[in-house]
Amino acid sequence: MKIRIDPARCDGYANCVIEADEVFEIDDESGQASVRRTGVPAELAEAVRRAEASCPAQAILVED
Amino acid sequence: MGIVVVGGGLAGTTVCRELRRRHYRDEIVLLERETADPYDRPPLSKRFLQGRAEPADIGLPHARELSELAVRRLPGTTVAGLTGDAVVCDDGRALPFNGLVIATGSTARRLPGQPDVRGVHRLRTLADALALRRELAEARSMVVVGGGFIGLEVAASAVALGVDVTVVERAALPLAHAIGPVAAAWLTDLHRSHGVRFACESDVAGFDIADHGVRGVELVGGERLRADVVLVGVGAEPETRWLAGSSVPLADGVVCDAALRAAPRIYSAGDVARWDHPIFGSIRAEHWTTAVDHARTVAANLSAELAGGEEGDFREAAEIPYFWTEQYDVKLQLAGWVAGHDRVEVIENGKRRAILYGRGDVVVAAAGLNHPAFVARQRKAIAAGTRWSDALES
Repeated sequence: MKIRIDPARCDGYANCVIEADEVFEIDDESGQASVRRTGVPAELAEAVRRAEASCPAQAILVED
Repeated sequence: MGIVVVGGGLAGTTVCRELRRRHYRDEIVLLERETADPYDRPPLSKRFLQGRAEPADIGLPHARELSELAVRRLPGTTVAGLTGDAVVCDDGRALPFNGLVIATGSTARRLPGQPDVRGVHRLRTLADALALRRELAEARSMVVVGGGFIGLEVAASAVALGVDVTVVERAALPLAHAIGPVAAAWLTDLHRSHGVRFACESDVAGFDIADHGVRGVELVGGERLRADVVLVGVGAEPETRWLAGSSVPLADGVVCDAALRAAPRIYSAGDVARWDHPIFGSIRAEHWTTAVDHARTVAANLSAELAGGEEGDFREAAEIPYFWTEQYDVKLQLAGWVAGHDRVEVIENGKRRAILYGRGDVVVAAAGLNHPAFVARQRKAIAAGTRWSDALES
């Protein structure tokens, strides 16, 4: 699973951190979310999908 | 016969997508009141109003998926009633269902005696936003009636367009009931620093009208405010009129249990749903995130019920409510439920500001001004039932 955040779209809503804080983090200074790990274990795949669907800015791109 | 979803907003369209993700194979019919393709509402009061986004920019991405998901869309459909196992449309058509999802959202309230003249607006739909945007482009002065989230977001957008804004608010401080007096004062001060005037503890007595257009408002007490445009932002009401007299229980929304079930095979999601939150009790939340959270729970529970599921197969809508508002360069984010809090702790961390709200010995809400990491962290703490004293130490 490959996860990318489009910085041009990310608007710092933090919904991704809420859905999967093992995978996403947010920086207060920039107001931007980022992916905190490479390689997502299978048990987090569903949470990542939820984060993707919960992003109000549609900034999360997930590829299997 | 399959599932009928009433409401083409975020909650209704997300239910459709989640049902298919759960491999629900029978027919799904989506009844949409509007004819525009499903769109996202939060930008309407912000970048859309400021002319930084167009209708094509705010479409919901899963609206495009609906045809691939074999969802039968019926745009421009107004529902009029509900019988035992069919939704009745205002043209008399009856749509039978096995399962029903009520996601009719809410409608912007009007003021008593609000005239239908040029310059007087509400903001709920894309059509509302287009009409308001057109007139704001020409306007020099604006009165916003009601200092709620919509009203204050529109005020900030109008300031960005160079319009002179006065907010008329019934309470002593706008938003105090929603976010508490401390955060409310932060936002009001922010507006004042941008030149917005507030007439608090004031009410509109009438409208000044000439040539079928608004010229201003008159306040109780006689003061007159000039306005080329007036926005009435006095809250929203759940859209339940079509359910009057049906088997669905109503009380400021569709009354549901913790699983969002209103009656056998009938569920509700989004603004219109009043449900038993496992932590906060009977609540209704007009939030973007709640619509998505509800949609997942409803899709899971309705498909389980139709597949003959047992009591234990149903999940509760236990997510901690979460919303944001954007005004000028500030984003206020709030997780939890503020109503009923009896203590606050204000945390000032350099230029970042945050508030914890407690009730008895537990944390019930957290707000941050440009402080998303704090709010995301505290949302988790609220879900875990963190004690007030432990939260203060962290």
